[in-house]
Amino acid sequence: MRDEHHISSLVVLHRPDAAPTLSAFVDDHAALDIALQGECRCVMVCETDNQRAVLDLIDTLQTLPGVINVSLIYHHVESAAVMDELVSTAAIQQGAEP
Amino acid sequence: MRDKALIVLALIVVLVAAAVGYAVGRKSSPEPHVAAVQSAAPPAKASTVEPVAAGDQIDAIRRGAPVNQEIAAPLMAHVENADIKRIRAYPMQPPTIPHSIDNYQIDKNSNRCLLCHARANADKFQAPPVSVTHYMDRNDQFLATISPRRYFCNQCHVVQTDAKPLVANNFKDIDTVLSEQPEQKAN
Amino acid sequence: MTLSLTRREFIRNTAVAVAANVAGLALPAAATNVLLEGDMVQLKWSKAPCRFCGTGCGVNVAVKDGRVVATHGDQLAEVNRGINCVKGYFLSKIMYGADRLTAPMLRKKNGVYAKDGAFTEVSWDEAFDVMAAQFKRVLKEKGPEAVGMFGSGQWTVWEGYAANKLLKGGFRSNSLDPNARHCMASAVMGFMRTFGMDEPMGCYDDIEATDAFVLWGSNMAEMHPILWTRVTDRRLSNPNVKVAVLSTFEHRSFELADIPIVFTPQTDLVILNYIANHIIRTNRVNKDFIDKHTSFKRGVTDIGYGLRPDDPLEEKAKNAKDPNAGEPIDFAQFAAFVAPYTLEKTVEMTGVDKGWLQQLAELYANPDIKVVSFWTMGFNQHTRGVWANNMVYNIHLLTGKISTPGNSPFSLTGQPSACGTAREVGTFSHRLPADMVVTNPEHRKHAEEIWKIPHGIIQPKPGYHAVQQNRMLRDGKLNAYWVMCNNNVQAGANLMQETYLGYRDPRNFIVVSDAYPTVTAQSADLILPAAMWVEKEGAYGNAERRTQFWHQLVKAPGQARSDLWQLMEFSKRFTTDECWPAEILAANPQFKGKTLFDVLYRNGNVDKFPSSEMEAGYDNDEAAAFGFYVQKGLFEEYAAFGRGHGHDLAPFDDYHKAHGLRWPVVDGKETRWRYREGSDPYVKAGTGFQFYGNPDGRAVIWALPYEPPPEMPDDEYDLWLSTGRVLEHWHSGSMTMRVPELYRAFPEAVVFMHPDDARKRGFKRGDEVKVVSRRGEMRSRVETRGRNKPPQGLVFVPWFDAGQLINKVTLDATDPISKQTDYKKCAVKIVAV
Repeated sequence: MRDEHHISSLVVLHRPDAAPTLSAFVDDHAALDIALQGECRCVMVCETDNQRAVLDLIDTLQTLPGVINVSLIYHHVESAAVMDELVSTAAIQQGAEP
Repeated sequence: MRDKALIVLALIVVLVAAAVGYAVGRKSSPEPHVAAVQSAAPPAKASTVEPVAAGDQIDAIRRGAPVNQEIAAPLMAHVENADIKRIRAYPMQPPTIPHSIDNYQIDKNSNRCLLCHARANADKFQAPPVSVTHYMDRNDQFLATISPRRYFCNQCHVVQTDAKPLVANNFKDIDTVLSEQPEQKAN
Repeated sequence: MTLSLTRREFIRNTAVAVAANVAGLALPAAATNVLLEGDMVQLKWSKAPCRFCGTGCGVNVAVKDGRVVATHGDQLAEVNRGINCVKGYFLSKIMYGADRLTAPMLRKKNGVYAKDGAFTEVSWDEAFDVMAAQFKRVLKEKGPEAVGMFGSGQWTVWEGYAANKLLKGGFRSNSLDPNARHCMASAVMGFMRTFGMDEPMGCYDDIEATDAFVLWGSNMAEMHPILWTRVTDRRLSNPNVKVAVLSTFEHRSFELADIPIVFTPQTDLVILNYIANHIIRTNRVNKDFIDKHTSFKRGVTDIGYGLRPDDPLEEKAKNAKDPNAGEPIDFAQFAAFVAPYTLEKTVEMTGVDKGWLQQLAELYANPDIKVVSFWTMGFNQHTRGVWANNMVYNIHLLTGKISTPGNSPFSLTGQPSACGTAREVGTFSHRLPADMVVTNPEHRKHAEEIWKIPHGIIQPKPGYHAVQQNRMLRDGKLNAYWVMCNNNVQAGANLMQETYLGYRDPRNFIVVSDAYPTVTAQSADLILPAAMWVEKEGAYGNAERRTQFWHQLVKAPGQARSDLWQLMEFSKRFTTDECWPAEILAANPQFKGKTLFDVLYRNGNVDKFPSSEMEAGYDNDEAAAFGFYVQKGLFEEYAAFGRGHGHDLAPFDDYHKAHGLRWPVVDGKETRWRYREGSDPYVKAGTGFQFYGNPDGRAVIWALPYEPPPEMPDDEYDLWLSTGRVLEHWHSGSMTMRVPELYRAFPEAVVFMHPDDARKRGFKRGDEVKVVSRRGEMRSRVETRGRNKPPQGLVFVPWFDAGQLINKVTLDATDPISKQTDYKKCAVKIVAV
């Protein structure tokens, strides 16, 4: 499984004053984006080519000052090759054949 | 008169059953034939039972047999063992198991699935490693090993046999619904 | 192309939407639950409880263009915290089987209804015209007791409640029973006899607090998989925790067992009394607890097997007439009663190794071990099921291991609202809401007052219960019959001698409401197409007293309508003059000439809330049809029964916000452990515990013996037959057999048998055989491998497969107290085809 693409979302609970720290951290890491920012929590999207990297990023986020907790909410892995396909592809055959 | 009606009914039943068996396409299935159950009914204070009309075998899962008659049991289906990943209906669906798991030992001391699918072993066995979600406990905390609540794999992941579904399913995944949208908008 | 969206963008959007929901953060677009990129990909996510078992997992449901396109486990749901079992993960597909019923179908010949006619599509008007004419004919010719209904633990709360009103308050028939009779009746009577009040005292939080789990006839690994994940979590995270699994055959739950016990069928009663005896003999009775909080009774014995009264076994039974009776005794008498149940005797009768029995008994006896007992159909589907329930309470009460975190005798439910609808609403033939009964004049009066109908309308005599309904159909005494939200031709025992004959008897008119063409629909005269799950607004109550609501998220296909709409719309075709006695109407002239719809559902309660009170953004087809917020009106009227009486439900709107609340909900707070001071607001300060369902506040410890089952293997019928479920299919399979992945995972029923039993009879795996009993036969195939490993002398056959109706073979013997069928024991032989 060389050709993996991992997309995950994280909920980060943090103290209100930690938002700049998080934002700077995300700027330094191409794999991360802040999708939504609340007062003391944010939703991050994480895209990597392997699972180890997801866990490493979560571990590092946990250690940032002002971060209370990091939860992985969603994790999806698929072949990187299909990532740029348009979603309006052929329907998946369901059930009995005609 | 009644006997004759029953014979006609039985004939229709055989035809319906055969037709369904054919339509269902269980090529492994032996020719379905209906065996009338020997009457086990007690000496009846009950009145007669109305025969149901032909063409009323509406439950496809019943495989075309009237409720009060027996039909040959289909041959046992075989577990698909081709190791080919199947498409998922939506991203959160747990993947089905693309190989046989006969004689896989899973108990509190050993888990045959994790031998290959655990993160540490996955590369060696060329098996997809379990998702990182499986390392979180009930309170969303990360664990060093697989979360015990995910330990029994077959609560979510199941094998697929070669049985052909008796009823089609018209579920449409998100991609399909989206791709149909322009037409719907036009209507 | 403005529509173009890559797979990567799409997955990112989904990931963000799911996380936003968990974090409680609003998405940037105008509406909530909207994806980030592009107007064309808005998915609306809403919460709902799972449609299947009594665990009550929370799911999030994604809707796009009027269709459910995805589901996943709700991370905010306490019960399952984000995970589902394989059935739950495929919920998205259960409504989309290609053969959904979309129009009423009536058996017709030459353009009119005929019992031997062929199914023909008709309009709702014609369907209800013919149905009303049949019901009116029967009411007039035979009286209300000849009208009956078989309902469901899968009904929403308000559907069960509306049905209860229509039958008991409208037609004046108590012959309304739910399929929960097959599933929970013994648990109910167990609770009522011991505690005077139904449903568990504890909750699922006990799982994380306990030291030991004992499964009594429950295969949680397959039937309650998400609770099993919590048990597994507890066991594997804490090596000191022990799991004991008791069954008549080895199954998947044994994979986690520290104490695996396979016993001879029916001898669970012996093990229970042995444990009580062991606790007493080793001086580990919690004296203080039993002195303050319990009383003792001896139950009558030789109570028969709930067979037809002319069965020789019934004629022989001394106390078949009053099986529920008992007399007070004291502790010394109880101790003497269980004294004969020694370890030696127990080993001899059960076939279980001495060491396992001792280890099991110590889990209960040792005061330092907290213990949770779980049970389901192994106890409840048992001709002494009520006894078994009472006897497991005995051992928890003797040791005081009850109502505290981690100490919990816990009856699990099989249906999503067996508790919420069947039990709490009281859709049984003897019950009214909030544990009240039709036989009590005060209870009837109270119900009539809340319903705003005249005194004397509710009949005092219990109606026909489930098994009795099938017998009365066959005998031609129950003639107008409505089956709703269940598949009883497949589920009822002794299909060939009872169920089928009654359904097809020309004296009877059978109506079946269902979403799919089941074998029950196939056996009916009129089929009504039903809306299901998130096609209607609903409420379910799970096994831990948690009430959960959901909104209507999509429309039902074609002309399919919810059971609620069907019940209420049908009531418009009857007037009080057609259903109620003239003398009651003469004394209450304001009711004359009104329809049942007017008096039951336009009574000032049910129609109290305008449709404008509905949450914006959701459809409600029933409110649209009737012009008021039907569900809220029904719920609030129903809640009046329990508020202030230990069954308090929260205000309606709270449930649409919460992820379920466990009743009693008092001052906005749910109750996790009942009967214990500090955690239950009904327990008075200074008492410690109060079992307030009984007038003296004491729980009853019952002295009850072992008695043999009605049918045991002999020379001809030489094997025990046990029936049950498999993980991938739910109950009769009408939903799960239509989901391709679930179907293909377990496509047909098989006969699980011991390899030596197969070899002795000349069979190998895969051979076609007949399973034959004194009542009927069924064709299947031999399975000697796989998840179930029966001991020699027993076979297990699942009942999900309409192609293989194992209930042609089973015996319709019931527990005489609960009237629940024993599906776990009868005698069969296996022969070559």
